[in-house]
Amino acid sequence: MTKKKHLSRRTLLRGAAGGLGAAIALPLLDAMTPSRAKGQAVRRFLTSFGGIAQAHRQYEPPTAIGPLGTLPLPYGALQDVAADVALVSGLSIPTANADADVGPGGRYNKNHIKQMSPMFSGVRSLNADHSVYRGRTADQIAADAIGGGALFPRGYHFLVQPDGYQYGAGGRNCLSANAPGFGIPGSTSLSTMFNDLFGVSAPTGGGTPTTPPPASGPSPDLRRRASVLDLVRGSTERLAGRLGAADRRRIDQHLTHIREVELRIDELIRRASMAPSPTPSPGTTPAATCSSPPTGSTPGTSTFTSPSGQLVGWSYETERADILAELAALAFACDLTRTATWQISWEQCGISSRHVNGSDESFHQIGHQGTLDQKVALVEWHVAQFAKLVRALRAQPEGGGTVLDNTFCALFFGESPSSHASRDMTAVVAGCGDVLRMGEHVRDQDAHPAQLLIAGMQAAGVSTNTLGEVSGALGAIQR
Amino acid sequence: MTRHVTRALASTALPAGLAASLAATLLAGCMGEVVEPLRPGGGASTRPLPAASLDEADLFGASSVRQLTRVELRDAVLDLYGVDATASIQELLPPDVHDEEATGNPFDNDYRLQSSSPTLVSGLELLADRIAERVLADDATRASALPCTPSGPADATCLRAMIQHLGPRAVRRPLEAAEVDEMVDALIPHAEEAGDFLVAAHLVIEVLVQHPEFLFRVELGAPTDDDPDLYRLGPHEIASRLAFLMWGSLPDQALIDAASAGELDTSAGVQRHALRLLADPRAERQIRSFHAQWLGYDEEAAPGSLQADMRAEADALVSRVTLEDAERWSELLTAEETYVTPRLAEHYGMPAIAAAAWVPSGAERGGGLLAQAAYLAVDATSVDGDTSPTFRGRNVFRRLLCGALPPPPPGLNVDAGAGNPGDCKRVRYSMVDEPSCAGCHRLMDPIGFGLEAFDAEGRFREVETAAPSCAVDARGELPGGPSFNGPRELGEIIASSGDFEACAVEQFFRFAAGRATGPADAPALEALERSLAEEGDFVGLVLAYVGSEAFMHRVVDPDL
Repeated sequence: MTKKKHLSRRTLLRGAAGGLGAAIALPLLDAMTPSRAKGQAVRRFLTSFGGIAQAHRQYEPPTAIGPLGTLPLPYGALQDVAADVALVSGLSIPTANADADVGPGGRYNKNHIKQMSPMFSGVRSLNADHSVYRGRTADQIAADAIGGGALFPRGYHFLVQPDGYQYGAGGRNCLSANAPGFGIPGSTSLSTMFNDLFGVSAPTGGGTPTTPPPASGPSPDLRRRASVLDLVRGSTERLAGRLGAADRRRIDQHLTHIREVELRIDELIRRASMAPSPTPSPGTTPAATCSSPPTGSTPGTSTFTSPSGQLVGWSYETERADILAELAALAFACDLTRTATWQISWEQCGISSRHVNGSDESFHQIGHQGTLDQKVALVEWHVAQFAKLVRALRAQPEGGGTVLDNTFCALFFGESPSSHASRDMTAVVAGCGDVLRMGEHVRDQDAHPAQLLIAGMQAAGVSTNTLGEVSGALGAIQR
Repeated sequence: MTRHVTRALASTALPAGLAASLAATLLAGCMGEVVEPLRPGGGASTRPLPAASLDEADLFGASSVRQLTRVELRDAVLDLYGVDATASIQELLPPDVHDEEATGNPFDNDYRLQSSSPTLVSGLELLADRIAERVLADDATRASALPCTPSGPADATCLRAMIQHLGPRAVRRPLEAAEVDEMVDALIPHAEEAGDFLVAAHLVIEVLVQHPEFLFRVELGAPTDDDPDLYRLGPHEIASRLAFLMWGSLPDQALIDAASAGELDTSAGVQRHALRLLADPRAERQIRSFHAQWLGYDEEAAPGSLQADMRAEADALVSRVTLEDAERWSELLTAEETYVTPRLAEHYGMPAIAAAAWVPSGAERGGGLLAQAAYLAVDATSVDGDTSPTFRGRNVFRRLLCGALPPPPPGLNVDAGAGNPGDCKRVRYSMVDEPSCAGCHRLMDPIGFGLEAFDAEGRFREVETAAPSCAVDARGELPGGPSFNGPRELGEIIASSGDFEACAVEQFFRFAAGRATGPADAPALEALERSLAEEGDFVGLVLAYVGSEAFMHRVVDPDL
């Protein structure tokens, strides 16, 4: 077994957060032993999103129906993984101009945001309802069925774009919802993600332990976290017990999330208490890999005002995607979670285009004002980030194949090639090639995006034929 | 038409000067087809409102548990531990949710939009660790947090003293002995194991940062006889309510002591302490923050930037009007002097000055905040890169007149620029003449045109930026008729009509109550407006608010 280093991992991560750009070196963590050494295959489910329109119609359909040949712009970044991805075109969300006319799974005809609920929860959006999601999203429904046993049974939510810049939150940073409302915000901070997924830090309080930590078993830091959370949970429970019904609902929601963290720490302690397998089971990600998460950091966020007066920003999203792809792949490979959202950008995306197509306008403004080439470059950029995720999943061995083989991934875009519309959209799908037609472009004219997610849930082992108000899997993608 | 009827007509505080046009709009519908209330959830009743009194215990209506905003959390951590956690909070915690479009509320503290999330809980855990580490790493902050010298790693007495020192301020109430015992019992073993007392001290801070009564503003109160939904707040709850309103942060020790001594049991006592809090720089910080959020110039400016100078100009006027000179609050819109740095003076084309100073606004630039760059830059620019009369007019209509606009019609691309960029503004912004657009654009564009003599950075101009062959035409008009030219005349009209007071009171109430307003709040707004009319100045309003019987009560929120 590798000797444990007594480093403060959090200190190192703080260097990353402080914009120093120093590489993060994480100590090996016994607690990260994969539970999949038992040899049983698990299935997984992931949704991804780019909050922009899909460039111009002349690029649609992206390629001929059937096997993917040479992929045209903006899908070229998928070329090396073409055998493991599929393009699904013709997706549409029915739109209406009055709430009374919005049908099941439909969308009120407003510029932005209103497609999120039908797209990911299958429940119609309405003008009168200002919440973003009006139903539970597919990843949460999948978590009910397949999430149990993982460290994060309700999934994990990655945000490549960490800030809205011009536009604030209010659902734009949420790709998942477990109840009607704005949704569950994704994690923005690399530090939080490392901490959540890969555990614990060394001595706290600035002191040095007088006795070295045990060679195996849960670290003192993990047990300290457990003690702190136990006290916080106790306080929260006592508080909830003193509140009236309305106030109590809000504190209970907070309490639920505290309990989730506590359970996770208990599970980490349990895993750390088990002797790590000296040799990994064949076809699984080695424990050492789970113990050595990827290194990397990005400097902080910078913002400026674009020529059109918009606040635009850059948080090294391209570099963040490199790290988040690796993190997501390891989170799956090490069975930390079985469902996830991997949101590349927010609706009305305020990312500066400077690093993508040389413009100082935001992605959103390029969508309105930019040239066709500029618009295509933005879609291409999103596809390239998604391709990183696909590659990372494919790089993790599992049962004679790869983690990707057991993981359904779907990338949706916010809007059609004609801006603000939800007609004739194309999604990129990857994984679960045993039951889904990978390596192909399939088209199902006016199929609902939720039907693709139903097919994805089925591929991931979820027994359902509905998502919200939408029924029936998208057959064209199924083998 | 009386103010009462005007207010009832549009369901909540609508400015008197707008009554006629808004009544017409109600009848016609903004889209020319639908009769709908101008406010979300509002109803078009014409029933005159009874005179309301600040002495009515339930006047301020619903309240609930409020999560500290990111700014409040930053300030509470700063006040309690002496460390600035701004960067970590921004990095680790989800942003506060705004939804002005839906609620009309421009502030970041609307509890009805708040929710917990796994991201929040995870972020807090890491934040707590970082704060604890910083507090204990610095001699001064460590000494401030730790009121004793530990005799050894397992010094339970010293740990108990630390918890008693920090805890009551953190959770805004005295701690029970059992709570302290529980923490000591749980945390001392970690210090013993590590052979380091500071391990336990670190964990105490971690617990307190994540403590629900630190993170949430919780008000329980005692039941009242009259109404099962009405509760009388306890003295420490009143102290907390007062401190968060006045400072956006925790009560200080003096306020906690005052609560314990019963000094906050009476209105006079609360007002006395409110005056003490007002004299603290934290009150000025809070008042500036309130105005900045209200009027939309709250975007963080980089230190040393021209934007920081612009913000300083706005802040200086806010402080002068509200605190220093205790002038009429509406002086914000009529001030004839402004505070500029040498760089800002140059930016404005004013005579050069050697150091930051109050200077006469000059012929073109009267109108207080309305003529300041910080305000003129707010959401001013259209996609074509020049100022948008629609956006500027919308800001005045919504934020200074508290008018509510229905959402744009279905499918309208509100991101598109207006007309042909080469044309003059009056030609391009022709929506007021199109029947399907006029209902709403009549309420916005004519106001915005009155500010056209200033570009998006607040510089005076005589020709349009995007079309230099077009002379600026800065004739503006408020809904309902009064016309004006430039910010000075706009400010005078709003300030002299009573419209300013009606809206300013509503914005203050939204901020103080931490929620959007609805029809049920009309009596409270009425009472506060009357109070402002009597007092005239901002501080007078605040004192009336905190000195009211309603300030000492809470009402269960039926909408949660």
